[in-house]
Amino acid sequence: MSTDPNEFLNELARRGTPRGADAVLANAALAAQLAVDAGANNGMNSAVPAVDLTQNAARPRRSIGRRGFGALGLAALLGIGGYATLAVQGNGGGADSPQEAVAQLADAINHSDILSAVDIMAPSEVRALHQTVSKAQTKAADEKLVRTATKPLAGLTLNVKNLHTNVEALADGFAKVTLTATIHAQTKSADFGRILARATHGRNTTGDLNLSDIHVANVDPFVMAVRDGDGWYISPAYTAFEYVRLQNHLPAADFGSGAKATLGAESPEVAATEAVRAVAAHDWAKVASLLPPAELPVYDYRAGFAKLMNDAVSGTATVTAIKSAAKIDGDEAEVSVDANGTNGTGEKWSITKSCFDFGQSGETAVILPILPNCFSFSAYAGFFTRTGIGGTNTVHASKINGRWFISPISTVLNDLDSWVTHLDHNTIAQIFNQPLEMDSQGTLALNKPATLPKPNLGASSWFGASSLFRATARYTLTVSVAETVVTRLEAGVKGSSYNSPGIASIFDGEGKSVEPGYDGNEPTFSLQPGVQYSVLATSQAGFNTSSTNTSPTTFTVWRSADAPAIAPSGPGFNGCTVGSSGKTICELTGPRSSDGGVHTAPTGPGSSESSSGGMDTAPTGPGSSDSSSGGVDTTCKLLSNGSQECKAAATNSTIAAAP
Amino acid sequence: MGASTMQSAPNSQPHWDDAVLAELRDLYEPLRRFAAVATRYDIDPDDVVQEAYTRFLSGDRSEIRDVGAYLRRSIINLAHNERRRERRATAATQRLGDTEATTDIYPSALVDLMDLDPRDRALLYLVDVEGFPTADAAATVGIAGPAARMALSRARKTLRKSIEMDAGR
Repeated sequence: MSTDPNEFLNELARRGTPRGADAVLANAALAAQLAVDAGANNGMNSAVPAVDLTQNAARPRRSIGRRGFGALGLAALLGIGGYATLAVQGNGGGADSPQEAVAQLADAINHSDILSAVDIMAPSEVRALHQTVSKAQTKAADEKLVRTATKPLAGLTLNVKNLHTNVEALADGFAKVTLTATIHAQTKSADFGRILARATHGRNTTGDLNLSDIHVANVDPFVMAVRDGDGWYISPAYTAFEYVRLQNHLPAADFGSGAKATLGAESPEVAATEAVRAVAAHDWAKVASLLPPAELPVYDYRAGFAKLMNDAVSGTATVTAIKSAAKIDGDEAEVSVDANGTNGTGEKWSITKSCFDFGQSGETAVILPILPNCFSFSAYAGFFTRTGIGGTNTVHASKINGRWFISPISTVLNDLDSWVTHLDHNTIAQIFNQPLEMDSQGTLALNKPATLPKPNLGASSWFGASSLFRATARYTLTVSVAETVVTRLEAGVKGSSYNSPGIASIFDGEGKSVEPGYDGNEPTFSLQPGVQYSVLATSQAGFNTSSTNTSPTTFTVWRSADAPAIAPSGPGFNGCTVGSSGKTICELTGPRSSDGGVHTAPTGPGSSESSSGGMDTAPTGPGSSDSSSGGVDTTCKLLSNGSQECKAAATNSTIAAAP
Repeated sequence: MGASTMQSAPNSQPHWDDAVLAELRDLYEPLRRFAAVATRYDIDPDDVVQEAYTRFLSGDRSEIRDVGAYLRRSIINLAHNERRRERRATAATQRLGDTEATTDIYPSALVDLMDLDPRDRALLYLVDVEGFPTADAAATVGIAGPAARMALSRARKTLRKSIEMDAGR
């Protein structure tokens, strides 16, 4: 090891791989040209030296763009962007003024610096975020969504031009900072993680957003700044609440009142039961008092909150019985509630460990119209994770200054943490529509079924319509001679979902899609020997995979000549279902196929039950089955060669023959 | 890539002539070395030089008499901005609580060198490696002469001590 101090300096000086003068200069010239063209220098302070060199040199105007250092992301969230740095004296303890708080946030944004952005957010509001942010960053890096956890926004550059702020003091320690600026966004795909780079097709994009064009609630864009101790911070919560207030023409907030009042309850159990009673009685001020004011300032906005809720909900409810239990861990607790009563329309409502039932026409329909009658956190948990919070309806409570509060944000964040924890590589690849990034589930053999894995995200029925929650799996496949193949997916859902063939795609070894042909009935794929193909199988939407009634779904690549034909559907043929008795019901009003009406139905392991409507494929179990009422009766029998033959009695059409 | 490429920017009305670009091109290598010393280890020196060039080209250059000195000062200021930002980020990290940190292993001399204030490190480099007179180096990094001599002394002492410790291991 060298003992020459200068050698260490030289080592530093030589670090990295030079891009070269021409490249650096060209990029600088382009950035400078854009800045000049956009008038970006107007009114900006200079971060470049004032001094020296020219003795009496005018301070050069500051270019706002931080084109060299990288990029940003949170601007999309708060609608502001980069700004000067030298004017901002960050000290880790907030800013000296609301304007400086905005400038610090903008500067952090301009430098893709999430932690610095967090540093200028109201501490009490972001405290609950720490675990989620940390986990999300780590997961993003682990799953190669980003190159490193410490630079999650690499590849995205935002430059803010002509940022101007106007501060309006709303109360002592509360200020509204109105913003005008133009945000220039630029993506550099090469700096993204691999999946994101593929998802953006390797394209670099640019765009501009003029904040003046955004008029939510018919006001200029703004953020709320609050004073905490000696420093000013940006408050996402007050910003959001103020927007809601303006949008709905609600009364002004009683700023700071939550911090002065004695709120909360003496125990987490009492907080939970009082919250339920208050909701039932429409005592919205009481509800607000049970939410932590520093985390979610509903109490300051209680007048507007009450008006909003009273406008939305009519008819109070009664509470017949209520009890709660809490698991306390220091200043945090998980609380469950069992309660029941009668809602405003006289119907029974109940909250149990597994279900919120507000009655058929109860308040749920008004407040949460998307929820099913029995809203269960288990369904909600199924959205976030298959094994997450265990399907128990609990809320998080926090002890603050000796009083207990119900914490909706922590409740959601806990579930979000669980979701992030269980998010795996394959799910991320699905989210970004990059199935070839998924791990292979194994090697397929022709004519042999493979069982599709459940999607990791789970999928309750009301989320099931999204392709995001379909089960998709990647397999590899090679053939020894040229083959023409077709694919079959046999859904095994028991319950109210319908069945249909899945979606299959085949890619060659270079990731290029194998374009299917068409044999008159369905897509066919021509495969060549010596190529390792990737085969993607996707189930249909609507899977209730969180249900215990779900049977495995199988996927098979068939030699075209061996394949069972798909159950016909369309005019004159509504497909087959398997009733609860296990009988196949084929609603056939006449043969459909062009060959005179011979159709075959695929079979799959295990029987399934499905309702009518939209069904294309009827899975049947091994062995014979016959039809029952509800359509044309069908009789199937197992042939000696392993295939099934089904006949529709009314038309005498053969509809199934599968090995 | 030459000047003609640079002048093809959107709405381009070149604000600089070939002589300016040639001067910047000639300054690239020494400026890159300077930026590599002055800025944090995880920052690409080319990014810093590029940003300094950008600011130079988009600003008012009419009264800048020494382009090299001006750009070095720009780089020092950019390094300071980054240092401030890093401190805020560190404060945020600490406030966030249990964020796990990873530590790269470097010789302690290098670590101590990087712990120096960017101005002091740049000063040391300019004087001890580039051979600048102390007064010129001090002016370049924006430190008064006496303060620069003290800073140099402290920095050299720190570096020597670290090297001795590394050698003794």
